[in-house]
Amino acid sequence: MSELLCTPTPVTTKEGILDLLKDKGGAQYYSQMKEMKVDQEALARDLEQTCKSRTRTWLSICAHCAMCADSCFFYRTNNNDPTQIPSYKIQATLGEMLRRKGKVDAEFMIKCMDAAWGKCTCCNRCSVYCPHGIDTGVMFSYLRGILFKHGFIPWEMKIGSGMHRVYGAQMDVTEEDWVETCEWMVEEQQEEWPDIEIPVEKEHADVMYILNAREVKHYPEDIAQAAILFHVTDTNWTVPREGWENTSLTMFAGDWEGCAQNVKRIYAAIERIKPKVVVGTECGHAHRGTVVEGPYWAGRESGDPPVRFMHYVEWVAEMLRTGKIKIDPAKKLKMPCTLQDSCNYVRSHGLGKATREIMSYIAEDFREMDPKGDHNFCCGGGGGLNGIGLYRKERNVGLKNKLDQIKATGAELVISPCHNCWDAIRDMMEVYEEHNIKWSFLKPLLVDMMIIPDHINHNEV
Amino acid sequence: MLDFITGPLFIISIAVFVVGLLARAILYVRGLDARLERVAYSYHTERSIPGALASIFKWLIPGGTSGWRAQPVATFLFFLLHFGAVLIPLFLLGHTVLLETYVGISLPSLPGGVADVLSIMALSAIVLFALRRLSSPALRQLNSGQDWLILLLTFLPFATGLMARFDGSAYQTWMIAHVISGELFLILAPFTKLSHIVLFFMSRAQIGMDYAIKRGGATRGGAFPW
Amino acid sequence: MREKIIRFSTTLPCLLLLFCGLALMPAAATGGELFPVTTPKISKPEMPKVIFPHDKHVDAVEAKNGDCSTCHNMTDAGMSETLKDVTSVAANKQVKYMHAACTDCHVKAGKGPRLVDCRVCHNERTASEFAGKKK
Repeated sequence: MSELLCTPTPVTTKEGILDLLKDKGGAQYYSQMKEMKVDQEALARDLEQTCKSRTRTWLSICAHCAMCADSCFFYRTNNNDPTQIPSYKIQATLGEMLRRKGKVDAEFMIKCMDAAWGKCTCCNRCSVYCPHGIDTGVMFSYLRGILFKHGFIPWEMKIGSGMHRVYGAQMDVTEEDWVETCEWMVEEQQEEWPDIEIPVEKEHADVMYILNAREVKHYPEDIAQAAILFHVTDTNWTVPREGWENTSLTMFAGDWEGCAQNVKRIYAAIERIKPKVVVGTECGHAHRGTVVEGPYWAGRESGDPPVRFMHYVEWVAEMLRTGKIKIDPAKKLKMPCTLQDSCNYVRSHGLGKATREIMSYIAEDFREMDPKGDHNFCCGGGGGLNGIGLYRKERNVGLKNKLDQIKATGAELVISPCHNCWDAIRDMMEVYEEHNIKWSFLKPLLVDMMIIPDHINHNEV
Repeated sequence: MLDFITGPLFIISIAVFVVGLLARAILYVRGLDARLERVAYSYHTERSIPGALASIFKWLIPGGTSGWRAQPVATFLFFLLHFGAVLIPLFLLGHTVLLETYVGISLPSLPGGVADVLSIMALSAIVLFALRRLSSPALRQLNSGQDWLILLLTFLPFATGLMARFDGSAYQTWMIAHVISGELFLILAPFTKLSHIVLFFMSRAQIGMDYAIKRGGATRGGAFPW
Repeated sequence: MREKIIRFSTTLPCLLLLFCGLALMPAAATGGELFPVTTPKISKPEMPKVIFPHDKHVDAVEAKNGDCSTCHNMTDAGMSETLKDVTSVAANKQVKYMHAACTDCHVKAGKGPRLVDCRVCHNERTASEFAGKKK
């Protein structure tokens, strides 16, 4: 293969994606990266224009007190390796890049890539433990943006960014695939739920539901479960035909332009459909990318989305609170269970309240992790790390921290309303050969334990 | 010579200190960019102001945040130093007399015994901080020249001040050293990490606002639980 | 008449000399007469009392061809024993007055403690020795 796979240019065509996918594991891609020239002038200009007083002050004011060290699960799981201290990681990369005013080579940029994607999941936990409030996670996210612009990003991130730009979703799911999957799920569920439907592009619906392409491609049961839950709560809902996918591998990749495209696509759907509320599936970074960061990428000065957005856990909490979903007491979770606090909607959006409200309805023996809530640790696989082969080993080491937390609770089930956390937990059980702990999203549990309202037609199958 | 050091140079060093730190603070705020940083600074003041204040004040209390509680040694040393390092320059009787005479500002003064204790605490803390920098593997990875510089800049005024306080025989020599080292501290503060004197407040306000405006302020129910 | 003048002009200086001699007798280890500064009355002093070396200052003033009026006001009741106008200033401003007056003169003279030299004047050892001697 002689074509140039590794360039600063984003992938914007199907062919581009396929070419990258053909290069197994990115072998060619990474070897080409070593030869890629760094446009030092452009880099200097980028830093000058985009790195302002907040970041520069963070880097210059750091007291080197090492209070961030123990806050980082990478530091803890790597035997307190001093090179894993958040302050060190960012000073040696972005700090150094600024000091040298962009006069760096490919080897340095690759070192930055290794840190930005292999040594940080942008979980922002360090920001909570720094006396100055320095957010190294935010700085690594910024660095990812710089590296994306100059082409030094992991292979899977390049592909993911391309997927969003081409398909409007994180995977190669076309509009046809999407709508057909909805129809297929309705067909499958028709026998049990005669009146179930998945309305597409229904104007003025109360709820517009947006989700993760993975659900369409790999486990459409999730879509069926979502439909069932909307159905039994008499929700006037719909899904968009375009702008139905709210994840953001572009955010993980540092592709801000791609991020803006994603968010605008979803907001455009809101303009067409005019829902009262948008509900997102159980995905952490989707919420962060669409609701927390999204409004800014779409140019909204207030930082607020155009209409109320709810993460799935907010919707479920409301349904339980208002009695629209009633739990059969006999089916409540009896085994000890614990709750994963996903960084992107707990620490970064305060929804730990909603998840705990849910637990109070569905679990009889709920054990909190320590630390919990806004102070909880990253699952170990966030920020795109779960999907990056180059850093699989590093990720597997990092998973140990969360596994220890889970085991310390004595829980047999981990509730994990987030795709990346769910994956990380699945993988840690496999990597560390834990066979007795299960993990689950909310939807399958709710569908199992809910009391079906009398007025809903239901056939036992 | 002595008159220059204790007269005009003193005024110059105070001026550099005040103007320099003010400039750092103003430049910081002017350099914030709501669009690039994705924080709508001028919106949602009903929660961003309490958020900024909580972010600052919780961290000013020993053990007031999870961050402090997670690092008891660092916390102890930090407050051991900063109680004295903040209170003595401002409220030592010798300093308040000078401030009133030269600048016209009247501040209350600390009782002598309290001042002695705070100064000794501060000096001990600096020494312990230096030892921590030398012995902790984590800090050894991070140490830079600037860290040592500000430790020295802070050590000298306290050491010479305490020597002047307790050693009568070379009093005036210690005093000259104290005045010069104090002026060095004041003049260099805006240009070194000592600028955290104002930038701590700026940075903490920023992160407090960030969490309040953008990262959960509307849904968490209260300021971020530092 | 002349005899009266001669007698007066010899007796008075002799008396003055005797008076000065008595006054100049060593009163403390520092040599020269020492006066504790008593204005204002401070109930809880934060600094040791200032023990003023009067003789040292008399020498310095005389060397510059000055006299007692440099530091003392003449009143109807005779020469004031306190520093210039300190008693006409409010009690809570007297310390400030003295700091300014004393150090201004020291700066002009090019010698003597400046305002930063707190414990040259507020000397613990001198103050306790003086207090001990008084007893």
